[in-house]
Amino acid sequence: MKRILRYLRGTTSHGLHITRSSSFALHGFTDVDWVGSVEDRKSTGGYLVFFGQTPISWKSGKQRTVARSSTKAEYKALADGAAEVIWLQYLLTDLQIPSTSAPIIWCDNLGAIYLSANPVFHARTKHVEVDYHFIRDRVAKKEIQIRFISSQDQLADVFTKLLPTSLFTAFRFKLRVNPPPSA
Amino acid sequence: MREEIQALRANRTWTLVSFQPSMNVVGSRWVYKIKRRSDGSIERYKARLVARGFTQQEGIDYSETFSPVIKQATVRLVFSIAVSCDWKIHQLDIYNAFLNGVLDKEVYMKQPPGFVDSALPSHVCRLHKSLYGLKQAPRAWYTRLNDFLLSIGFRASKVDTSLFIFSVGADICYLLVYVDDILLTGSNSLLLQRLIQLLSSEFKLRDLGSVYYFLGIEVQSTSMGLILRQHKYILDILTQAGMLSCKPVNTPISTSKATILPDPLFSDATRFHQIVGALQYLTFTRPDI
Repeated sequence: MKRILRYLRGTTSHGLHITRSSSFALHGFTDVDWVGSVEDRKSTGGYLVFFGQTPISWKSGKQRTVARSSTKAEYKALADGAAEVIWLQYLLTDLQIPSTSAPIIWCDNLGAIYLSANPVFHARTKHVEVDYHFIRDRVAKKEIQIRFISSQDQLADVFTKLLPTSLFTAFRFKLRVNPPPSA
Repeated sequence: MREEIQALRANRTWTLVSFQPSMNVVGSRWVYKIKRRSDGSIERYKARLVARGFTQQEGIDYSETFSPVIKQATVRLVFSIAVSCDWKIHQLDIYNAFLNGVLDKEVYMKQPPGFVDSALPSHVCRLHKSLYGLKQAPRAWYTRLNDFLLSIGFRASKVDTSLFIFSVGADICYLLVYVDDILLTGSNSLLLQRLIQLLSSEFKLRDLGSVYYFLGIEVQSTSMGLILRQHKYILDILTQAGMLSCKPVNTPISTSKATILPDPLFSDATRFHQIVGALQYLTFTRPDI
């Protein structure tokens, strides 16, 4: 808490830069820190959604339930991120912005990706709440695509993990949070 | 104060009626405020008559109070579209927005302090239009604006109630509402001007030109696009926490585990919650915290 304020002190004039986007496509990133909380073993999940080059929606938060496997935690984060992307897609339709292709969500967990594409109940995942399986439905209808991304390019990492300064600064740059241009 | 009373009279906010014992009469008082610009300098002084809404009874004086709030993602998305398409974003400020709301219930109020009618001192005001402080004021205003926008051809967004869309031919305009702040942008500047004129024929408003300060967010335009910042807001939080002169650090969370010590600075729970709440709003422009 105090640390956040000290961080802000050094970056009071940083701001979110909105630049011209050549593409009007949505793409999202989701990630988790599995059982990261020492007290209750809940995982921290996060997502980040870009519109073209500008981040427009993000969230970081503890998941409501304890995940028995990292795949399950990733799958839940994926479902949350997908719900946001779908909502934004509706919003774009409302704004009469034609969508070119199905939005892509980048996830760094292969297990969760297979789970979202594969309508088979595996022994280890049969306890996953039905709620989260809506994502399979959307993938099957080709309304969203889910692709693999390596952990080091995973932009949602910054929402779930503690990062050293150099990495943090690099992520912050990609989130378009920058100091004002020196005039 | 005189200005405010005149505005209320011009608006036919209330009529005087004789008091009946069955009426639940709410009080009223004056609130004084200093309006500041984004740099903190004083813009104007303002006196506002407010109703003491906390004495209203549900079911009798009001039923619905919900008024939608804007979604941050929508604002960022609309900004992003406007930047990509090179559209100007107009900011409109509605004068005395809440006073435009029409009340659907009978609400009675004591005569305002200092402005009691000397001929009818025991009469009470029957309110026709809403006043600041009434429970249903935000709702009544939103309903009124919503009805008007739909009547001039806007379409309400299905997924975000604070967003309205106007399209004619290939041209399109977006209108975002946050209580009495309105953002308007679109593909055709003539059409935008026409819509602003239509709005100002119904409500007293000011066109502030290109958006520069909205919901406490400073908007700066550059050759590259827009920069959204909450510089003043951050300084306010730091002042409130007494940490203006603290030593800055590079990251918001330490990578070592040793920092989970109890924070003596925030032993006061209320203050702690206030600051956490303030930090949450800061995430409007700062995904990095």
